Amino acid sequence: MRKLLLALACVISLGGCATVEALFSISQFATASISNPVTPDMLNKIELGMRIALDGLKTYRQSCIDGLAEVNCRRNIVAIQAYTRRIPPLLTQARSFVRNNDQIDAIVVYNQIVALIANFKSAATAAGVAIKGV
Amino acid sequence: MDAAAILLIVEKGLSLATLLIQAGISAEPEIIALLQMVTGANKGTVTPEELAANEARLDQLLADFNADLPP
Repeated sequence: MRKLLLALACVISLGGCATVEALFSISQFATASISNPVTPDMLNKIELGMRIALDGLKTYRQSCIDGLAEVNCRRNIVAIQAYTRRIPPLLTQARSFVRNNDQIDAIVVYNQIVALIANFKSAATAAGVAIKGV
Repeated sequence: MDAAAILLIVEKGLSLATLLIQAGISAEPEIIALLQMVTGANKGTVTPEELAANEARLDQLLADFNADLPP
């Protein structure tokens, strides 16, 4: 049992790093503009990218709660949450604008989401969360 | 959605799915999402149903991750 827990701790620890790496590799989204309008496919792409990343971050969070992650994990999570908590209302707006093909507003909100992703990437870097391939 | 972007997401998604499975966590929802994305790409566009399902899952993940940490 102890061996299993140790193995799980290693896997989750590695998973945390890989997750953040995956997040930042995925989240290099292009800025929207009038010549590059926000389509449902673009929205789907950014949402799927965030979804995969958040699934991993959720695993990191759980390993932190279980005491299996590094000592600074709580501080790291709070730092990242400062940005991820601003995403849901923007997503709600972006979805509405894209569905109504309100491109002027969709572009503004979409670019705010892209900027927020860049910000929480910076927060994770500043918190010492290992990232590669950025 | 261009093929390179899809391949990048699929590659990262599969890497993450492997880690989730190794950690004893179900990766099924993410694998289904990847399949849906590839299917959508073949059709040329995402359907409203696929988009809605993807969004519902993302909303749940955001809510889970953004919740306060227990003391």
